[in-house]
Amino acid sequence: MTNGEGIAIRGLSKNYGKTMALEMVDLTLPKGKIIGLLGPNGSGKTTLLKILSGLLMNYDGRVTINGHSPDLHTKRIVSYLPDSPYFADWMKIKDATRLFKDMYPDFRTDVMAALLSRFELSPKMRIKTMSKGMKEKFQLALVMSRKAEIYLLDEPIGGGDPAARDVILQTILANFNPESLLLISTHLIQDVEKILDEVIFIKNGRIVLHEPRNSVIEREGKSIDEVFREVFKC
Amino acid sequence: MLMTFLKHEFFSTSRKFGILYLGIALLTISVIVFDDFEPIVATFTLAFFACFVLLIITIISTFEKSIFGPQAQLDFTLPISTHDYLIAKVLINVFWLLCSIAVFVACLGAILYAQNGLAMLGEFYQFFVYEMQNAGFVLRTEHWIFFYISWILSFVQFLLLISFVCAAVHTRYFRRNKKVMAVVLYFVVSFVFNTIISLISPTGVLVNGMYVLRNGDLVVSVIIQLCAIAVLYASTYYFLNYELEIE
Repeated sequence: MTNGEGIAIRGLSKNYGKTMALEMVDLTLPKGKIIGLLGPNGSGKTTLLKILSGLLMNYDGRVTINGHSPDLHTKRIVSYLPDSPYFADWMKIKDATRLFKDMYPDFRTDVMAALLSRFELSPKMRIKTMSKGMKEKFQLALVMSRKAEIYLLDEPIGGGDPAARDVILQTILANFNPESLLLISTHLIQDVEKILDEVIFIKNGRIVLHEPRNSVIEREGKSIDEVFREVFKC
Repeated sequence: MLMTFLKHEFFSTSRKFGILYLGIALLTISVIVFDDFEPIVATFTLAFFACFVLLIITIISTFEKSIFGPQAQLDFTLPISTHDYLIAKVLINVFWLLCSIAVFVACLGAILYAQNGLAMLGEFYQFFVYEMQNAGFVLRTEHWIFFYISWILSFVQFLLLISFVCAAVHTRYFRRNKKVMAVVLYFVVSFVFNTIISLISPTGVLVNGMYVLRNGDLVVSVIIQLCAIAVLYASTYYFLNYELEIE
């Protein structure tokens, strides 16, 4: 990878006791791409994203983001969306917005306001009073309001209905910085495959496929969803 | 970033403490107003002291939730260094401890003043500044400021012990029953630290039936405490920076 841009992973392994969550993962993820990290539950997607975001510090192998191991520098340029709510219930949307605005110089207040309007969320809403879907949209709005260099989205469309998923995907595309890297993990392939540039299949902690989306479709003559079902059939 | 994070820590914790302080103020007014009605005074006085205990519990639980709870995923992805994170957590809790003591002392002073005027207030001041009775023997310090510095350092040491334990159980060394292991680890580490500190700390000299801690003794105690704080801080920093596993 030239100039240390994007994500470079070499020989990454992570175990939880006897369980290998990730095993000898090698990936090169350049910026300017939307990449799908696809796999069933328990395949290692969240573990990989947590290592990249700095929530898991103990692992074997080498991980670099723009040439740096996950540290203070990478936290400034990485925008991470976890798969569960992570704000205190007592907070209001405007409190969380103020936190992000103060902590991240790349946070765009105007984009946040527009996204809240699109999702029909008021800044005065308390997180405690929000439904699961509303919390997911709110957190997505916060994450996508940053002009980050790397976006890590863990199951951004996991909890929504089909209409809500379309809105979320459109939001991601509309606010995604084309010079950034966007890594989305999901098991809902059918909804997300149309926006992907590259796909990564991960199974039992190992990478089984990493190719441009169009190459897979041309070679297999099937959609990514159909290929996924074949690769991961029980 | 330290000041920014401190500002948000203050904002996120002030709500709970504000409500508690308001409750204590109302209880204080009630004790003063119902001065002649003993059962109510007794109840309110008990509630008043219970509030202080509740304040300490709130400090600990707020601190613990920020590492054990979902908020940990937010805190540890923010662009702040581990040093800034630890320093901010300790500073904000020391701040609330000092505020809580100030509120408690002010309310107690108000009750005593309402009952007996300035004379009672003078004795109250004497008690806090010059003498402390503890388990049957009296400690008298030559300069009370060292005593209270030592007391605050004890609280910092306690906070860092909590953070050390919380950080330790969020590593590969503890996979299951994290909260139970945290409690066990707390008591084990606490016992080890207190044993070592009690063996090497000066205990003062016996003068006319009273233990007197000289300034030199207190300075040595403070130095020992600072060493303990450094050990706990370094250990916590290591776990958070190199071994962290937030689930």
